[in-house]
Amino acid sequence: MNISQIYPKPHPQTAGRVIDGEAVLILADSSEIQVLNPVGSRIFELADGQRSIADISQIIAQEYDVAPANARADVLEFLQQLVDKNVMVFVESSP
Amino acid sequence: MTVTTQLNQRILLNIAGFVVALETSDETIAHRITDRYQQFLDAGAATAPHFTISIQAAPGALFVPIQPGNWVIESGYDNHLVTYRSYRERGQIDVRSGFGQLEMAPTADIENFLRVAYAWLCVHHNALLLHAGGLLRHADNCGYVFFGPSGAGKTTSTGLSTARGTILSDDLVIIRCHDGHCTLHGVPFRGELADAPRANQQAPLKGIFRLRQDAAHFVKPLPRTVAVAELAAASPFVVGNPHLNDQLIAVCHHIARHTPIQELHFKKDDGFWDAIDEYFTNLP
Repeated sequence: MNISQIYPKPHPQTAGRVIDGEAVLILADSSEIQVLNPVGSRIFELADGQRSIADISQIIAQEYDVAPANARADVLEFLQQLVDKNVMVFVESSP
Repeated sequence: MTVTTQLNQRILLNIAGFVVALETSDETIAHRITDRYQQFLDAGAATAPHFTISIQAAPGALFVPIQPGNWVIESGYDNHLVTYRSYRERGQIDVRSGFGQLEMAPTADIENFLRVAYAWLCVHHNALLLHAGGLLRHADNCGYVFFGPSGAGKTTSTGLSTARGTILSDDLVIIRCHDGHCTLHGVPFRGELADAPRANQQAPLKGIFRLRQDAAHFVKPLPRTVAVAELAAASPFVVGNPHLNDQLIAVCHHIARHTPIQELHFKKDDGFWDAIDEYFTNLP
């Protein structure tokens, strides 16, 4: 996977809002409600379909002062989990 | 030649300031509605109805096969249409025109249709139909809300509070917010306290409590994010609809910004009111 060319964005069934640094998500398909932790919420906030996974990883590495390689691995794993749960989708080119 | 004209009866319901006009030529249906919602009839609503529903009697109607299990209520919202279907009632509302139709067996109940209609009205007017118990406390003339999923203790907590105030509901309440203040409204919808009066009253909302059954009474902070999520989860008929969820979160967030929402751990006696009073006494 070329993370510079993958642009994650919320799945159409997902409604979300960041409140006090944490994202509240409602998943329409299952009526499930989730609250993400602050790091996850920041990633969700950044994943707007305009930034690639590489862009998001770079921002997370800078904001949380972690090694770029670790940030890339963690961001990718987290986003993949959200994709698996139909919270996010991966788009292969920026709109 | 004899011409018989059936005149439509027009019944105006006013629940939490939201007016719904119900029109029907069926006397049985009209009588049942006026009897059941007596406290919420509005003979001369000053404002135009939000919705006008034409009710057609459909003797013997069965829109959903009756099967064992949970009571079936199908509702949705798409393309400006609120849709509803249950065993003996079926209807829809075009929210652009404000007009809708409901077919129902004369002996069927309109209440679930109204719940769906009011859930939609609320979320589009910065209000919330919440699965909760509500009390208008006489000591301070303020409204208190107790919520949580089925089994959390809504009926228990409101039942233990009868000496302290007027129970607005043990099942559903409406919260409306305006200019940074939230108001608790009674609704005619009832849960297990079927014999309780259907109080058409309102009060400034003082606090909202997420119920947790426990061995002791205490109030525990609830992070605002979790409070918003819990409120959204307790909003029947609108949570989960992809066209309504953004607005639902916005409404819940608005309420959470203007009203304390805490977790109330309680056991089965009214001592939890001491915990509530202690919480507000210590509130900065």
